[in-house]
Parts: sequence; C-alpha cells; structure tokens
Amino acid sequence: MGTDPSTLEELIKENSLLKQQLSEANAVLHAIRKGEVDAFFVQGEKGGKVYVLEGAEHIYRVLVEGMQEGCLTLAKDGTILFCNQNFAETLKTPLQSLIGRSIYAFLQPLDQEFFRTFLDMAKQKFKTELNFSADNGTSVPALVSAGICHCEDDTFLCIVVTDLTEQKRSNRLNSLVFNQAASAMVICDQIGRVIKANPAAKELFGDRIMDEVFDRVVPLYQEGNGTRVLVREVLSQGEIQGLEVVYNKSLNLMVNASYLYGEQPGEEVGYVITLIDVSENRKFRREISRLDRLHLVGEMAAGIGHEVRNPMTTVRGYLQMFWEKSQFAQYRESINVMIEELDRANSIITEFLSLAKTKNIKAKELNMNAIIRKMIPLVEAGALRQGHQIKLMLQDIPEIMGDEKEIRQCILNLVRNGLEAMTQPGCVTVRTYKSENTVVLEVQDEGSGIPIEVQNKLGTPFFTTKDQGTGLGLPVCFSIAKRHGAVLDFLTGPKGTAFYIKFRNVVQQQLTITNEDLFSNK
Amino acid sequence: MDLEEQWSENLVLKLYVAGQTPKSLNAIANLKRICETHFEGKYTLEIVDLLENLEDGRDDQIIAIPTLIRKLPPPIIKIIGDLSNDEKVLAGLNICPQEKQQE
Repeated sequence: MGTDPSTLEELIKENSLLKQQLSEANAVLHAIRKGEVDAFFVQGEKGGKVYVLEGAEHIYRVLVEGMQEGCLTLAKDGTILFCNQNFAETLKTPLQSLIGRSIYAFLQPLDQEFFRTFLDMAKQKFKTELNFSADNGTSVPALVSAGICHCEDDTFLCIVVTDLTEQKRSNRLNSLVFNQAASAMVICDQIGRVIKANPAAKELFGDRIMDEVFDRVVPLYQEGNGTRVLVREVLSQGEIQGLEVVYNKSLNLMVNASYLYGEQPGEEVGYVITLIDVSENRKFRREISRLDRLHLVGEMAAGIGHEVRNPMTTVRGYLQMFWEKSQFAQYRESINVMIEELDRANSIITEFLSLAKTKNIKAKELNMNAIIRKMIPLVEAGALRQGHQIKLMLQDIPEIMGDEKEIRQCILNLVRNGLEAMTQPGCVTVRTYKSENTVVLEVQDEGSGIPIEVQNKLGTPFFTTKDQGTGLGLPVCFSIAKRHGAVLDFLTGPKGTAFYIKFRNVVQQQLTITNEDLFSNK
Repeated sequence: MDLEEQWSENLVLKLYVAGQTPKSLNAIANLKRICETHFEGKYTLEIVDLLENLEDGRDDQIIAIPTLIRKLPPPIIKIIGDLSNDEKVLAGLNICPQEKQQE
C-alpha cells in the first residue's frame, strides 16, 4: 500500500484504485478458468517474455508434420534434434534413426564445408541448393532454406528442405529433348533476339546467331518469288505451321513457330522457332514427279515416234531423188534446206525415242577420260567461235561399266548446255575424279546460275529456256544416268552451275538397272 | 456509470496477441467481425503481436493474452479473452449494439 491516507478523500481514491485492480485480476482469473486465454506476458528483470500454454503450438505442429517439405531442427554442432516425416522420406531413412545423428553424415563433402562455414559465421539465414546422400547411397538434390533460432541461452538451426529430384529430372528430360532434337530449335525473346539454340540450330546457322536478332542473321526467303520472310512479322499474324522457306539458296526448311507465355494471362515472354530440313524430301518429290513425267513421255514416244518417222523417211527419199534430177536443179538449194529440216526433225525424234528405250544398254568396261579426250575436240571448235573455252581437269579414275555411245551423248549434251548458259565469254570445265566408291563426271560453266523456279523443272522433256532448244538434252542425260545406275545432280549459284554424274565403278557393281525399271510403276 | 454510452468520435482499439496461438487467431477474427458489423468506418484497430514486440506489453500492463484495450474514447477499458461473445464484448466496451440498416 502507498502512504497512509490523511484524509477521507484520499481513502476513497485509493479504494477506487484497489477496486479497479481487483476487478482486472478477477477478469484475468475468470478468463483463465474459462479457457479464453492461452498465453501470458511476464515482466521479468531481463525484460518482458511471453509464455505460451500447451496446445497453443498445435497449429504449428500440424503445419510442420503435414507440410510437403522436409523440416528439421539442428543443434549448433549439426545434431538432428527434430525432423518431420517428409524429411525422413526424402532421405529414404526411418525417422527414428535420424534423430540424434549428425546432419553431416547425409551431406557430401563440399556441402559439409558450406554448412560448417554457415554455422561458424553465425549468419541468420541462407537459401541454397545442396545434395543429400540417402542411406541407400542415392543422391538427393534439394533446396535448403535455413535460419538461426535463438531460444533463451541456446542456438538452433531450423531448416526446410525441398526435394528437387523430380524437378531436376524433368529439367534434364526437357534439356535432352531440346539438345538432342534433330530439328533446329531456337528460342527468342520478345524482341526476337536468340536466347537459346539447340545444337542442331547451331550446326545449321552457326554460334553467331546467339544474342542476335534471328530475322537479321538468318535470312529466309519464300520459294518461287524470293520474298524475304521475317518470322517475327509472320508470327504476329498467327502461329506458324509448316511454312516452307529457302535458306542459303539451297536449303529448303519447314518452319513452325509459336509464342511462349509467362505466368500472367496473355503475357508473351518470347517465341520458339523449329526449323526442319526438308531439302531431301523436296528433292525426292521432284524426282518422283520427273519420273512420272518421263514415264508419260516414254509411253507417248513409243507410240508416235515410229509413226512419224516413217512418212518422214518417205519424204526424204523423194527429196533426194528430186535433187538428183536436172529439171529440179534450180530448186536444189531449197531441197537442201528441206532435207536439213527433215534431218533435224529426225534427230529430235531420235532423242525423244531414247527416253523410251526398253532394251538393256550394251555395257562394257570403259574409261571415261579416254571418251572425253576423244570427243571434246568435236565441240571445242564451236566453243572457240563463240569466244568460250573448254578446260579438262581429268584425274586418275577407275573403269566403269557403261555404253560408250550413251556416255558420249551425255557428255555432249552437258557441255553444250554449259556453253549455251554463258552469255559472256567463259570457260566450261570438264572434271573427272574419284569420290568414295564412285567415279564423278562434272561439267561446270561460268553462267549466272539456274533460277529456283527453273530448277524444279529441270529434266522435264521439252522444257527449255532457250529460243532454239528442244528441251530434250537434260531429260536424255537423266535417263542415260538412270540406265547406268548413276546419279545426276547439280549445284548452282550466281557464278555458274555444275552438273555432275556419279557412276559406280566396275569393282563395286555390275549394271542391273534396265529401262523398264525407269518407266515401270515400281 | 453509463451503461449506454453514445460516442461521437472514432473508436481506437488495440488487440494484444501472441503469434498464432488458437485464442489469438480467434480474437483477431472475432474482433474484425464485430467492428465491421457494429462500427463500420468508425474505428481504428491496431494488432500487436507480443512475440514480436515484447516492449509494447509493458506500456499497457498486459498479463493474459489475448487482451483487447479500448484506447479512445476514454476511459481505457480492458477485455481479456478471445472475444467470442459479441454482446459481452460490446457491453465490456460500453457500447450499444447498432442495428444494421436495411438498404
């Protein structure tokens, strides 16, 4: 009690204060009896403290025991004082056998050092990825979030462990899919800059595309009209599926592209582009188409070729007869012209019929260099008159099985085409060389190259870009190559075109392909 | 002593809790409900977690937790417990329950 009351007023005042305190004390007692409180604030010598009654931690206990992450409490020396069931399952170890063991027994050496350093430096908290070692020896990657807890005079380490095994596996699979995909895959950010490219893309476009704007460093064009294709622009109009473009003038690519979205609805974080090389496919389809056309031509040729030749032979015979008669002497010049035209028509029919040959070729061992050396002088004179030259680069090559007459025809047609392709004085180079198991005949000109729209039609009978051409030269070469089991192909660019035929040498294979294989529906 | 006190100024309340003990959580939920029902827009509520702010408990001489204190209007009134009985809380704060206006 305070000082003694000296007046009635002071007594009343003190009484009132005591009543208030008593009322408050009764209220506390009442609340305790009714179970309406579960903690007390105590003011001690060292300051205030809160004591929580038993049962008040229930919510935390439920949280810790039921959470999907591992939770544990460690002493300063790393002894496990408490852990939940999830942590035991993460380490594939019974919970009872974990309590009291050292955490270091479950950490790999490098991670042990990290842990010790953290405890020694008494940092308040950290978050990092570590690898735990389960009792069965497996490694468990985990995200560890830890904090120091000071409780009265003790220090504890409280840790939450999130098992990253599944996440890592999923990431690894995703990574494998991305890195091992046969198609080129490129991921661009919102402005179109390449942020990720798989090995297939780097092989196709080079490492230079990294961090560069894709549309700037990878020029793509529409086939046919050569219009530039900007992926970002096309994508802005809708997802790209199966868009066929040309890259580097010779590579046909099929492009698919779609946006990548972030967590917010409609949030575009970039886009992914997939590019599939369909050049072989296109080549195959072109070849099939060409064979279909040849097949048709072959059928027509067989039907009409001989029917047309017979009356022509009759007319020629009469013209020759008139030429010898004196009463037609004044018309000899005209008769010569007529005979020349008939001969020209006849040679066209001969070429036409050669597409429809059904007999086997007369194959024998022959040396292509010898054939070339023998026949080139026949065309050299004409070439020189036009200001062109023919150069021979003939390497030592083995024999091939073939029909000399047809080989000569093929070389002649290719060289003629090469000479006619050059509008300026230039050089046609004829090469022979070995390549793996084949003997290659190559005829290269210095023209301006074959436009893309023409390339698709090469080999089509009667297709020609020349005013006086018959359009049969190349189809004949294709069919001769086919009869010899050889492959005729070409490379073209602004500096010229090279046609090359790869023959199998005589050691590798005897010829078995016949014309019937060419024109049949097999 | 006035049993039905008409108040014209804002009600200033302070609730002392101890972290997330069950009674503390109940007290917070109950008090918010009472305030929104009877004093909507006319109160200020401060929640003090004594586990985080030990010094604050000394100022208001807190013993048991949870404890609600009416700071304004004077006099200061203390109500101890989880505030689960609305009428008891309102009576303790010397406030007559307002009937909700039907719109």
